[in-house]
Amino acid sequence: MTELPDHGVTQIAAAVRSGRLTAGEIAIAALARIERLDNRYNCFTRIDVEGALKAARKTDRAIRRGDDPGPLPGVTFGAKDLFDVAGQTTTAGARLRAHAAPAEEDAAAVSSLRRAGGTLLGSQNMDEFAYGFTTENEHTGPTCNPHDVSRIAGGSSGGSAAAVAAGLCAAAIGSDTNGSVRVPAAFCGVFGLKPTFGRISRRGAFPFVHSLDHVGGFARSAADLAALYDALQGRDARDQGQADRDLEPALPGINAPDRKLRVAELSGFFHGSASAEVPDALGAVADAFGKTATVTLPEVERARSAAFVLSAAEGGSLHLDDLKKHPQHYDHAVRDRLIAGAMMPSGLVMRAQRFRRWFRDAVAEVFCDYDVLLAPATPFAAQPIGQKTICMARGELSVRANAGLYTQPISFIGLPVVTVPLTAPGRLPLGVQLIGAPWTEARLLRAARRLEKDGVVKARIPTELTA
Amino acid sequence: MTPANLETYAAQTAKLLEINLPRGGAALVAAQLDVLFTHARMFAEFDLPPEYEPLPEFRP
Repeated sequence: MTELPDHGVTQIAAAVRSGRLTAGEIAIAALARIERLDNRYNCFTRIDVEGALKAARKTDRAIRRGDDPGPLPGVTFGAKDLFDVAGQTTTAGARLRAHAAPAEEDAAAVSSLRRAGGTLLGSQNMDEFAYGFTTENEHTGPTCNPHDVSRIAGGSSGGSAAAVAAGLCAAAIGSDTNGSVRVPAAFCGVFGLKPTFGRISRRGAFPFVHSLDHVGGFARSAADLAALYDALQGRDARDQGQADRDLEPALPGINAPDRKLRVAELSGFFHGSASAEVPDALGAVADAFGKTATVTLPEVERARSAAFVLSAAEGGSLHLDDLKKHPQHYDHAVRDRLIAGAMMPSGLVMRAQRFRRWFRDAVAEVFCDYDVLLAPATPFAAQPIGQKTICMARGELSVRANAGLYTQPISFIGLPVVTVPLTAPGRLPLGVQLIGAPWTEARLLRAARRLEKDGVVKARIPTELTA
Repeated sequence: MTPANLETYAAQTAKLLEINLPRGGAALVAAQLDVLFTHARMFAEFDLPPEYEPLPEFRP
């Protein structure tokens, strides 16, 4: 079977629905590609050949019967290894969970995509317990960036972003607490969506920080990401953390023009990157929108700090029992950070939550004047695997902790973000965040589509992988 | 806090939480605490109006 790396979500769905290709053919082609290439990238921690073929056959049977196969028939997808998959152990990238009991049912996000006709190919590599931005996992090994295998894919959903970038799957689902969708999307040169906090059910996703965790996804075009997002939406009565929102499909209006879109570039904190390419990328996107304004978010550095402390404290609290019983099973860097987080005084943690409300209200005022705010996704492009620090205007900083410098303040208040990729042959990808007011995912996806149509942003499978 | 104070805090709090730190572990945790307290100072120093209490369930 010929590999079909450039077949995206909407293309596969149309081909399978029309009978031009079967879901089985798509699945076999994807599995063959994974077999051939994933030893180079280490995107997948588990490949479910049997499950994928079974799902594809089910979709093909539905089509033969004349039944509606769902909106994503035959669409291949992967899931970060913190989403429950029925019958499989959810490792969350941790040796500690290698022998945990298999999940009894699929996570809500996995279930939604299967119900839509998607074909789950397997589970994907991540930072241990999602605590990191590099996917340099001490237990499962690093995921390599498809654009340069000597470099990181970003994290913590690095396996998922890299798999989409390499054309191993059409889409993938990940989680984003502080930037874990947006950072790897930027480094790997794909589109990434972190929806509004509470939009997508988190049931069955191994938690990191309850008050900051989001479910999101990756694809190679804005329309593909919209299709993925639409399939993930829906009220889940079993997720008490989910907001009570109606479906707001993004794909049907993806090409509708947003006249007089009010766009501003974020300044101040979001400048001072490690290389000149980052502001250049931001400038290219801003110019395409005809941007006229620059906005400084109030107290954004304090917001980033509050997110940092909340993550450590809630994460530490979540892991406290295991840190007592099995500290030797944790990645050293993760363990020490979690233990320190568990030791944070509650007064400071409460203060961070109070500040969060203040910051939310302050930023809400900015959206009275603007629809979309632009910021770099990361302060630098993908760094070499194993490199610990990078020199920036602020000094020599940890790569692992600071790749999310520009994403953390935004997820802190749950705003929706689409990360768009700027790619060019011979250059490492960069990403720009399109940030919107709560519940404006559809508008952001339309804005991303507009940039794509104008040729400003594009996900690009590395040339040597398309042969 | 000084590095020595932080290390003492780490060692004593670990005992309180019943976490067995390995030899040298208190210093490693103290280094992480130093980072966290530096960040905490950033927002703790902010003059927050009293009406901003944490919500039991956060909504953006």
